[in-house]
Amino acid sequence: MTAVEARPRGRTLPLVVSVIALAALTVAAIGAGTYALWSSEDTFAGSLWQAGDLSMTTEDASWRQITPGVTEPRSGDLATTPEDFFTMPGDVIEITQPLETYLCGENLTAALSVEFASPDAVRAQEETGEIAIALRVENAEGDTVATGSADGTPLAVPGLAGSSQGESDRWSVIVTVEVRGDYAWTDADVHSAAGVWAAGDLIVRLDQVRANGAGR
Amino acid sequence: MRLRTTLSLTAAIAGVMAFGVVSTANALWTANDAVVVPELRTGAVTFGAAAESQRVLSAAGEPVEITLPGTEIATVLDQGGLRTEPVIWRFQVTGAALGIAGLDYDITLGDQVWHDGRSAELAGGVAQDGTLLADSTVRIYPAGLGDDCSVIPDAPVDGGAAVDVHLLDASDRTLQAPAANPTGTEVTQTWCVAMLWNHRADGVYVSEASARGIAVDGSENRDFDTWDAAVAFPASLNAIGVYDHTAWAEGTGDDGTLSRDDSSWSGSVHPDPAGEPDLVIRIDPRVTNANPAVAPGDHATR
Repeated sequence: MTAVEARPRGRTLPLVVSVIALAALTVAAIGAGTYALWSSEDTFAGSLWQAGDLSMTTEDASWRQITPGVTEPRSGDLATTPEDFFTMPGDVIEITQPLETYLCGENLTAALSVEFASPDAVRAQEETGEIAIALRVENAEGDTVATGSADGTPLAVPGLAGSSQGESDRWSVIVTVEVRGDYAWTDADVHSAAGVWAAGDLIVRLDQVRANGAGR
Repeated sequence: MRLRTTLSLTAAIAGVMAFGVVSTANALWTANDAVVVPELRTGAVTFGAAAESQRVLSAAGEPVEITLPGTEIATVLDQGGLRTEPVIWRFQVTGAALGIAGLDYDITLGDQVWHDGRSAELAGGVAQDGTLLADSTVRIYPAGLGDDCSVIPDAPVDGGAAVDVHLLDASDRTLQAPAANPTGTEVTQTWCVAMLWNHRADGVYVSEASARGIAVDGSENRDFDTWDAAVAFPASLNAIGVYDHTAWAEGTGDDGTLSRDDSSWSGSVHPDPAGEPDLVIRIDPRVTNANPAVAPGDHATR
């Protein structure tokens, strides 16, 4: 008669529990670290983009004429195409899109980037000689912190840092358009022969980045 | 066996959960916004000239031509005697430039153009012989306030050949200053053409009158005065010839006598003024720009 050694059940159960607990703790730890970085909701059209401790607010865009030699430059809001303003070759127009970033979090860092929504369309206008475009970002003091063009490379402003009290910064994305091309001669009313040019829509992003700069 | 299975299953679940959470965490959150930038308009320019029954427009900055009809020039012949009232004809320069653009122009003289297509250059303002223009003095000048043409500027004295057509203040005219017409309203400037026939007096009649009187005391007083008067032919082109006519008549009376007589007369023949050629007036526009980097011209060049 061979004696069968029964497994001690009392030792196996704690081991299983321990493994499950370890796994749960691992998941919980990773999850906890993750939740500290973000949560988000967003809406468009110049409204608040709430990203938990990351937010960006875009305001109404404006335009102004900075053409050399013009003694009474025009300016206005740019919600829609200005009806009573006509650019001509030689004009220089500055389109300003103000925005505000808010970062709340002790170790929160982010980067602001700007790019044309359709850089190919903008470049096509440049190649045909209709317009020449330059892009830059200014900080609240009016200092240029980044410059770019319509070559498709996003213009980046890195190093935005948050704090536990929250950090708000104001920025201006400025598109400078030099109107080129030739004069349009018409035998009709000068208004009816008017054309249009488009600086192109912009995509403004506020990306969370790791403190060590890894990932986006 | 069951324990090993349980442990494996538990480890797998934990691994999947950990992987899932870590994967999600790597996709750090991004806030972005699409900024819609509306289009902006570009404006245009227009330029032309107009006169009675005429309107011409520049298609792309080339000069436009307005025609002073020969029939208008011929009206100088209506100036009978030594009248000095000129014939006035008007034309308008029109245009508009939106935005920072403006418009300048120059006026120059074109050709004399006959109705059969012949033309002759009006070199230096001297007209072809045999035309009414060659026997006239024409001044082309900008109208005053209210399109007034009554103040005719003096023609410059060149000292050289007699100039028939004078252009006065006709260079570098500004129709619209740069950036001065945001509404694009058409701007008009009126120009005057004053034509005066160069009357040639056929002579001067000198008259003299004298008076003498004797006073009651026997003294004698005398005085005299002189004056002269120019007498002119009616305005006309130079005669191209004289037609001589002779009429001869002969008749026999009842009594058989023969009577005969003759008479001669002549008449000057002048060219038909209806054949007077037109005069072309050329107006050349150029666009100016508030931006000094853009040179004036028909095209935007830097």
